[in-house]
Amino acid sequence: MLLRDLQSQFSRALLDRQPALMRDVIVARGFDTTQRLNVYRNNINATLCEALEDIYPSSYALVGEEFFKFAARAYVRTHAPHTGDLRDYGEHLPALLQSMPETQSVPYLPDIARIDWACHIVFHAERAASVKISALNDYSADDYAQLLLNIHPAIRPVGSDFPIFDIWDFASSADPENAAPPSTAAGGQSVLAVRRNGAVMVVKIETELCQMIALALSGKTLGSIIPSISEFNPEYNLQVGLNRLFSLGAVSSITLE
Amino acid sequence: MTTHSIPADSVGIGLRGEHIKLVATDEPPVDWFEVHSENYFGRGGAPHQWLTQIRSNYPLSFHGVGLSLGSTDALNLPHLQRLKELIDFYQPALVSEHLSWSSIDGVYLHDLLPLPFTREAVRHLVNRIDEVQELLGRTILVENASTYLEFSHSEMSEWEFINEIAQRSGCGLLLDVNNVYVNACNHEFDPVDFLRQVSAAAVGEIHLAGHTIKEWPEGSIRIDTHDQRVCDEVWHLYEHAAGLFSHAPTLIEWDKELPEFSVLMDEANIARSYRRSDRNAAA
Repeated sequence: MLLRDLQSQFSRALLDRQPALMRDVIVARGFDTTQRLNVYRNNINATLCEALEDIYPSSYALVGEEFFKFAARAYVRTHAPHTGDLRDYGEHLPALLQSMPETQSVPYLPDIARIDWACHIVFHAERAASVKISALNDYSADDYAQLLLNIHPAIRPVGSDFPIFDIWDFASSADPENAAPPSTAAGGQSVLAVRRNGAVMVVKIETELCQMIALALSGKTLGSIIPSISEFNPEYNLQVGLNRLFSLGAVSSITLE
Repeated sequence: MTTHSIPADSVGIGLRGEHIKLVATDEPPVDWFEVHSENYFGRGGAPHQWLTQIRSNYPLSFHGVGLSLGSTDALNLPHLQRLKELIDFYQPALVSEHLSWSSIDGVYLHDLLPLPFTREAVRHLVNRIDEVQELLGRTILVENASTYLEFSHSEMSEWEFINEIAQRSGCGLLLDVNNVYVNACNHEFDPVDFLRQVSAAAVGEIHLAGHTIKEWPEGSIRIDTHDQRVCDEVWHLYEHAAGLFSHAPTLIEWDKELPEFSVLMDEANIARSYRRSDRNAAA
């Protein structure tokens, strides 16, 4: 059997549970082909599930080992890694959690998972400087239609219809599995994952600021961000919001589109 | 940064994230450290802050687990490029990967999967190692993998396979003594004989780790779990290796169920004692 065929069939034998594909090329030595292949299959599943546990500690703490492993196994079955760097694996777990009928009793779980992923990105993000709000003085209001606020790589926002800061804070406490989570009556909250001296912190921010950062991250210019925020909340003080955006160190540079 | 070389008779420790802050701030008496290259593929943050500090005090080795050297897919050039950037920055004394594969058709399985010991696989590995060494501009070491099955169409023994790859590609061998022992038990060969057959001049590093025995009604399979101390049988085999490859530094690996750092120091001291007894015996 050529090496390429062997690798394709080995992979299918493991992922599609078709050990028979390998039966003729594996030396039995007392064991069934399936048993030998299962050593590899178990190793692979354990590695990927552990990678997800490491990336999603708050989600894990919130739902406990049994349910997290159930969700992680479902993810591993449906999402194959496509790079040799395990840090890249797991980005779509929040979406999978959102779609699972089993998570309907914890509807905020996908957003807590989004905070975990944001923290993961921020932890490994490259170093970059931040600019002060005075950098805007180099531009006139006429430039705003082309002005891009480039968000710092170690800053990621998460917005939610649930009080995710309170729930995340609860999940980070000593024994969340055996205590009641905060009431969801408090309504939606937004947070920012930020890095300070190498450590990742989650801070509560107002929804409008979260939206400004999310819009800037999606490539919107300041000229289109301002009316979007005003439309969402006409009462919002945009000048205060911009001050806060820059004072958080959230803008690494300003460029013209 | 200048390249700190790793002395032949030294014993290093595999450095994991849980211990990195302690090592950077306490500077424990360890000869050198080996890290998993991919753990530093991120572009910033605490891992690089600590590793930069550690690099100024210790020689480093970069050990890859994700290049999928034996895969018949095209070489993952972005992966290799990131590795090259890290090597250019940290200037490690040693760079190594595994004689295994972990991806096919663009899907990564993230395990060190077995290769058949065929002439085709030798040719493939030699070409891949050539390509990697050319792109990195340096020689690499390749590690013999633990395996839980053998292919019936293999045309040579594992030691012939690794010797031929090293000889034809000019790469060095990272001889994992635990893996030799695991394979010897799983595939019923004499591990001492294996060590004697390995081309000694090619061996540039030795690995030691703990493994697990999984029992079934049909028998047992040893699994390379890196989650416990090196067992007595592997220390015994290491005594042979220390004599045969006295020019190669040794590394203690521990990846899961990580103990206090002092336990790793203790394992390194045991390895050192074997090397000293070897020297005494020779004298």
